[in-house]
Amino acid sequence: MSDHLDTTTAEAASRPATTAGPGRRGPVLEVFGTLALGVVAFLFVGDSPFRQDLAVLTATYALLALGMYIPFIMSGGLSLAYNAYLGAGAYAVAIVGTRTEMSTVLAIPIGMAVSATIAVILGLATRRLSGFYLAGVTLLFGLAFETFLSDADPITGGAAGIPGIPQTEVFGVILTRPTIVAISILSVWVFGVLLSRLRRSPYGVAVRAKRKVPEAVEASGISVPLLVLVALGLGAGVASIGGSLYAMMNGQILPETFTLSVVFLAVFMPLLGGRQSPWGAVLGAVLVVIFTFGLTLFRSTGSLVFAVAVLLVLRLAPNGLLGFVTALAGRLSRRMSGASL
Amino acid sequence: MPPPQLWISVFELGCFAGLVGLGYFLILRGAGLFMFALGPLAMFSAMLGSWLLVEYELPLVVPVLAGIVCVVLFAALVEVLIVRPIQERAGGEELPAIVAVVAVLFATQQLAGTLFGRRPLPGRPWITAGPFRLGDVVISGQAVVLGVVTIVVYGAMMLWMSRSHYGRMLRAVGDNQRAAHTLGLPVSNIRIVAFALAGGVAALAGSLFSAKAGVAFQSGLSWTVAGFLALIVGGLGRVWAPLVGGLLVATMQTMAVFYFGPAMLNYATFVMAFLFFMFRPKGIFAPRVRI
Repeated sequence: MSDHLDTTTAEAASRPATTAGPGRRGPVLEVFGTLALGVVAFLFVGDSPFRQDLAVLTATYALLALGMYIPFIMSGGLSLAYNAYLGAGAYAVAIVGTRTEMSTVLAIPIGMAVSATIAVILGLATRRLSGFYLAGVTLLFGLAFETFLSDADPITGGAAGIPGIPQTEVFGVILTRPTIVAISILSVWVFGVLLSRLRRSPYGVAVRAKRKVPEAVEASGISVPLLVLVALGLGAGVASIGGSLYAMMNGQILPETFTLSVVFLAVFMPLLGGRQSPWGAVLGAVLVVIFTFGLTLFRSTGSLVFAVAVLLVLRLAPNGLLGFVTALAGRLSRRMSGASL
Repeated sequence: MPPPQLWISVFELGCFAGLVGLGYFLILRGAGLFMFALGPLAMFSAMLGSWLLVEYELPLVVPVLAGIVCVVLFAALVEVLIVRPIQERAGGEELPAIVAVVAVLFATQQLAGTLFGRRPLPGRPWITAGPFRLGDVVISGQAVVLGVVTIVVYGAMMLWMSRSHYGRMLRAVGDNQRAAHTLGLPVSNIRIVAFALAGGVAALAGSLFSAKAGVAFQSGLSWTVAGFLALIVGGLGRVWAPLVGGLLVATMQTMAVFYFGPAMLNYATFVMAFLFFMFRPKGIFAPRVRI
């Protein structure tokens, strides 16, 4: 139950960010409010191995959804190849851990670089495509990557995946499971805050303007293709970190973790949570894990309930849950101020 | 030199991809969007049919018809309840409709998995006749049925699009929805007809094709890809373009698997889509605008 409490406070905490008012209190409240929620989440997880696994899984989903936030929600282009970026991060950790003497921490930047490179090349190749065509071609790329993982045995270990990834060691200190949980939650917080700032930066404004009026952005002397490539590269890097953390936590990886199903889930997360703020994507990730793993009631039908929930939200609350709560709160406060007058 | 028997597989796969591609074509012409959920809809019809056969041992006609009727209704409901309202609210922006279609795809997959189980179900051939021998080649009765149904469906669609009142209006809506609306055409009804017809064609294709290798709830995604590719390669210029595209894609896929192993299937598919997008983005039969 406390998960539900967490999410309602999350909505409350990020409300100033979504309304984007001129006040100075908003950003401070957002930064510290979400940090406090992260600490609460960490304390809630505690020593339970099951909750620790779910926490890292939630963080992986959240980082994936945050990675998609710039190109998908802000710039308005749906690329479905994100299982490749998540997979690159995870397989980088597995390959560095099992085949080299290096610390697996070094695999994180390697995974990010590989993911960003794939994303930029794919972005260059599909730069003239948009809408349904972009979604279709990147879907095919995602399927090809699925095959690559389960087939290219010398590199990816084939269908058996890569077992026995050694524990991560930093300067002689082994990272324990609670430490990885803490790092995961912290990463989500850091990237949530950074993306929230980026959204309101000049770059963010240009990207969001590109979504509706690309001609106007181009006419202002900003190169739209470059804008999109940067968005794709950044997003792939963030998603890759999620994959790396997942591999570190589990100690082994299997190709079926990185199928297109996970991408579909990630597409729906920001829509369910709310599009006006990156925290909506994080909220969506929390909801996905609650639906598919957390509640025993939905264990067998969790994905179906989730899919129906997405359709309902798309149809009835296009701004997602955060947007719904914000609108409700706005209406309430107006009514209350009206009553006091 | 590939064995001649391989061409029978190419033919079956090509007809199937062509039928799903025809479904895409209808919705693209009538409503202006790629209905990625058609693959899972075809899968839903096949799963429902097989499930009814396995559970209740009904005569074959009942499950096949049940699958088709369900999917036709389902597709029409998707248009009325989800796609149209979301497209109207989006005001010309494409992304919300894409996301809605992807959500329907995912929901259909999960619905089939929940209702009919997550294990593959066997298909059932429509006729018991055959297999027929033709020299070295063995043709199953089902392959003949699939070929005949494909030809009949395509013939009917070509006649319908060129002769009938509604078919001609469908093309008008596809050319310019706003102009069609201004001229007083019943745009919403035409869109529903497009969705229902596409659902029916996809359901028929799924039911026929599942006899070859069975059907599982994940089959929908690869079926979506098969139809999508058939339309991309074929183009939108002619009604029968998706069939040509489907046969070409099936040839390429079958030969890639024959010469380089099963892993090549998805690589070759991606490369083919990619090459077409780079060099021939409107497909082989590109639509020409007559002024």
